[in-house]
Amino acid sequence: MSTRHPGLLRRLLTHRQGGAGLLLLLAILLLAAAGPLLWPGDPWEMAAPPMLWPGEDAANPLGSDVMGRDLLTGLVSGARVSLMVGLVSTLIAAVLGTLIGAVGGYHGGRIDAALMRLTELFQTVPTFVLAVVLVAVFRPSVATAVLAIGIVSWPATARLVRAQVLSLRGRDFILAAETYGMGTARLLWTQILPNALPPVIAISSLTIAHAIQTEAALAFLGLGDPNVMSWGTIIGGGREQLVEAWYVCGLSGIALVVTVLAFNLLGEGLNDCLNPHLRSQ
Amino acid sequence: MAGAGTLSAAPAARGGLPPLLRRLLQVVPVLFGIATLNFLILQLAPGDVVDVLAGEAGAATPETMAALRQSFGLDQPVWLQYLRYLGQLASLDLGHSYRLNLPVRALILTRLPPTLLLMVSALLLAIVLGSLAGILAARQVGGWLDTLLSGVTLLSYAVPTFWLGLMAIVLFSARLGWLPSGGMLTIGASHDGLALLQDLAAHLVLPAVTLSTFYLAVYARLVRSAMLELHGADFIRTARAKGAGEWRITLHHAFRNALLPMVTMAGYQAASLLSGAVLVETVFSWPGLGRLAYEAIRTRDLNLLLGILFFSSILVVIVNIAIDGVYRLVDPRVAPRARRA
Repeated sequence: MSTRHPGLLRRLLTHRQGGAGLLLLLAILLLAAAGPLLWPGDPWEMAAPPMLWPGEDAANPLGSDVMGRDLLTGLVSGARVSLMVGLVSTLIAAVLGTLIGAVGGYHGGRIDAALMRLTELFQTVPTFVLAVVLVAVFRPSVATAVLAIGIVSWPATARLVRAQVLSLRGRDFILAAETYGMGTARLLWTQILPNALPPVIAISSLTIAHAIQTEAALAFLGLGDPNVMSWGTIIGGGREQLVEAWYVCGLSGIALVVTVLAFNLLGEGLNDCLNPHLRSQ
Repeated sequence: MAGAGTLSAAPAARGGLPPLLRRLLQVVPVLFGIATLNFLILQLAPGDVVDVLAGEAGAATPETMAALRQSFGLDQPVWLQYLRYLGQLASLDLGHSYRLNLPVRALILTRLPPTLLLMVSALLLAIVLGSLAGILAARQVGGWLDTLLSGVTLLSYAVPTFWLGLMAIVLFSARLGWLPSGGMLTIGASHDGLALLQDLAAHLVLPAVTLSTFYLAVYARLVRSAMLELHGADFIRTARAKGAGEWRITLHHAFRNALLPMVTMAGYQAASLLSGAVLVETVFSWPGLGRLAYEAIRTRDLNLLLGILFFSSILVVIVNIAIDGVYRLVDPRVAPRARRA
């Protein structure tokens, strides 16, 4: 990306919010990557006396939950799950949204009308309830969570891409390519999409943030993968002893907030750096 | 992000239908789409439809399963099953919950009032407090209140409501003991009249505030930017030239116009508010639709879940129609041409 937008990284780093988001995100990535090496172990395994408070024992720096499972190991596992689910489901949403928005915006007419009806439908249905139904019907697992979140998250991207394509549609260079005799698919792929993409990247950062929240909420309701320890799973389990051991819910929630905040800040930064003209509005 | 074409404020009153009726007719394709979505989910689910509807719940006898297969006409082509399904939903027959042994529609309708109460309280809180914060922040851009507001906004976008609710329980119910931690009324206490209302209000505070936090931040930001945009407007300058006081200008002239984007925003957020209610109700054991959904998840009562999905979508559509009406009240320019004739 940095080759196509020279200096994007530098611009992001000097941007107050974007820079903060990038640094936070690096810290989380580092935790997710190096965590299993520094604190090895199965997050499901009983590794300490139950309900050990943070700081009580150096072997379990963040304490343990009701079942004596090490909280730090769980948080590291949760970071990996959140990042993975957030990235993959957003990729699905971005591809779906770009496809639907580009086809609708380019073709116009009936195809566009039908696709817009579909988009409106997905914006009318309470998306979280739809995700809950999808995961419950197709059995809870990481794969169904990723798919369900991807399926409910594309409308915003589709609308954005459609608007972009509509505004690019009448530009001279597009008309020139059409006059050339360039086919529709090639025109969309080589001329329109590269120009419509920067805002998609910015909005995708916000989509990741929302996807991570949705995954946590699903796991909190007991719709998480039964074999995977995610932040939502820890919060859902910690609810049983909410008052006596509130640090279990508290710490995993803070991890969640920091991660979502990082992607939100990064999204704001990307938005400013990639579409400077939008900012002046 | 523009929402569903909820505010089709176009004054094109062709055909001369009353606006409400015209709006209701627009709802039909949406309901049709939602019903189709439900049918698709049922078709794609592992096992056949009856397995999903009754078998998963594990509460139906083999006889009822056989009878169900018969009534669904699973031996018939898919399009016929589809038509039959649409017919059922059109007559608002959402099927049966085999776990609770009650019709799904009845279950949903008894849980609706608490959810509506929660959603309306949260929305009102968000609008009133959000406007206040936005107006105050816009009066002094860069002041301490403005800085605080942007910090809180940033944070509230990142904090998951269910976690906020849990932390609120720890602080306000467990540690400080100010408010009850869950439920809608004190169990066993037979209050009546004012005492009953007080009890209800005490139980409502935490869930409503938790649900409203995110929207409060959204409205505060919206009002702030709307107020700033209006700052240099001609009619504001005129009002100032006439010698109107600052507060009168702010409230009577500027804020009335800042209301418009807020009403639009409320329309876009109906669906997300309902999604939020599911989580908040789960945290606070608030006996509404969301809590019902949580119970359905726990018992794998999939037909009940599908019914809740269908019904809550209808609810969003109804809320959007209501907000259209509010928009007409707030902004007379949107009045349909029919009225002018």
